[in-house]
Amino acid sequence: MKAKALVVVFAIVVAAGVCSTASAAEVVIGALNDMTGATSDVGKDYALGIGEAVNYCNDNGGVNGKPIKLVQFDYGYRVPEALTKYKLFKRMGAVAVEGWGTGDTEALAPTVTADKMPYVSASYSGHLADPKKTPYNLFAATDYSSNARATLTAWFDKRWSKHADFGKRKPRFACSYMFASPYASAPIKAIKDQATLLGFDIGPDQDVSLFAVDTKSQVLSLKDFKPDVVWHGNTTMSVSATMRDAYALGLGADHIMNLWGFDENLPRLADKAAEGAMAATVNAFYGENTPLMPTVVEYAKKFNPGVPQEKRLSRTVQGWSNVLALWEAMKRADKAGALNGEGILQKGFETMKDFDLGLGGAKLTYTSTDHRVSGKVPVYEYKNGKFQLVQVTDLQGRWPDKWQSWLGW
Amino acid sequence: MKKQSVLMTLFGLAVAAFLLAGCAGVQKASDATFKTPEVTLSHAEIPSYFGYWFYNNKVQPSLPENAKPGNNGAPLIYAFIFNLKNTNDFPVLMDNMKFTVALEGFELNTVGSQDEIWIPAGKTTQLRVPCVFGMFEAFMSLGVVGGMDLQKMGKKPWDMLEKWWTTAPDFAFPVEVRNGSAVFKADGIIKVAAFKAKYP
Repeated sequence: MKAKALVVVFAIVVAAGVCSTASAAEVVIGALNDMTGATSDVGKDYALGIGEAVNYCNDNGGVNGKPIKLVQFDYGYRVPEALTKYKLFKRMGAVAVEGWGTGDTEALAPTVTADKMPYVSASYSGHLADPKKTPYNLFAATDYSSNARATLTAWFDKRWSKHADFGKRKPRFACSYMFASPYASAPIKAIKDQATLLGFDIGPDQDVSLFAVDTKSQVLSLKDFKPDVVWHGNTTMSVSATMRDAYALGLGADHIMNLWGFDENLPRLADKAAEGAMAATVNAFYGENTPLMPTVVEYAKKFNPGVPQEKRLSRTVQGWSNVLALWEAMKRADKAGALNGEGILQKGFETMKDFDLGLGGAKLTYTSTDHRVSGKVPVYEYKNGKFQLVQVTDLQGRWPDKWQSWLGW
Repeated sequence: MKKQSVLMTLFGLAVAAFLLAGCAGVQKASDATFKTPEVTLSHAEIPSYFGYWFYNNKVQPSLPENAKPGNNGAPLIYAFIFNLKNTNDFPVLMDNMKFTVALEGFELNTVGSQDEIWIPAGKTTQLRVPCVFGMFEAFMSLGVVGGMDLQKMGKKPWDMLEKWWTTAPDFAFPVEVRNGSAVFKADGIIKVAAFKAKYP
């Protein structure tokens, strides 16, 4: 009687088990995105890229057979909201977070360090690249400070050497950015240091709001200094406005900028003034010829068919880069039997050496003492209606004695 | 006693068979048979209304004492009610959906649902998606992203915000759902529906 009862129970348990095998253990990752706030124009595209890339990862086995569950929230570019959502990710058992801006990422850095939560941000602030200070902050891109140094160097190499005054006087350089913005001000110290290193005269900074649509007073101030090249630290709209005013007022300078001011919208907004603009983009433009780009485009069309292709930006590719890097780190950590924060950092990210994502960016190397992914920075320019690679500036190779001292600022 | 144990065994096996049938008996989806469910906007609502007000970060809050001032304003809350129509002979899971909300052409908010929702075979399920516009976030988005368009219109961000916040309850201007996509799953097959709508 007892044996038969056991058979019955066993049969029911087996049957119920067969039905429930569909849901394997999931690996939860959180994503904080700005889809409503000041950076929503680029934040939305980045967020779409995150979602599409996670679908790609799951279609290719997830984390060694475990599907990735993406929990994605908008935080409106508000730091308090970011903190709230981060706590929610923790309650949901997230093993890592895909983050967004400089303000919230830097504000969360002490928390993610204490929690040992890998935090892969779209802020590439150089302040976040020193593992001694922010060990759990990572990104699959060259950092703002390296990008700024590399872009100014590329301008120096390619443009100044052909300038009529080359060899006769020092080149003149000035910065235009919103002083109060953590993102815009992050690489200023580094680019001025690079300007000094290359022998520039440095002019007065111009405070340009991220809201600016009229920058004539700042451009007129710049005219007094007669810069040969201006660094723009803001995002695309105010950068475009400044470039248009500079064009209209005959400033005569070249324009270099941080990557969030340089994308497919720049020529749409700045029109002719965009010609010759230069920046380190950290990866290829959407649709450009790289090994994985056809897949990126395929997933964009499949999962967001309502978004016209012409509205997709290089921000999609940035989202993919951060997801693919985290995916690789999680797979390595899982193989080592340590799919947790510490494992993802140490057995995952910090074991990557020259890891190529196939998206046109620098190959990724993370070490326990340096989270800058590479000293080689690809720099692009907008020329004849196209974004084109100008040069890969090898900062580490060119200044090997200084490279280590540039970490973290 | 013996009869009772035989009955019990049969009952157990029947339950097991029923559970297995539950898994295997339903028609399976395939890429060819899985018709993408339709997503349409039934209507939009203002489920809660907080008026139009804003105080900037120079204004000290009344409570609590020593509270940190901030840029705070009334939220504008919409709810979008969608019909999810499953014309298949099998149930379908909606895994997630997202869409952008535009007010008078300005894309201000991208929202969605990440809750898993089952739609029975041949049925229509309604889904309510709330959408909160923070006033300062909308101001920032308008200023930083839409600044040049506003300039062409001869408007400032606050002109638009006042209009939207005060006349939204009357639906004095249409609210647009753009770039919508909803991901549906059945038996491992994925289909994505694109949608857009304007209300009213």
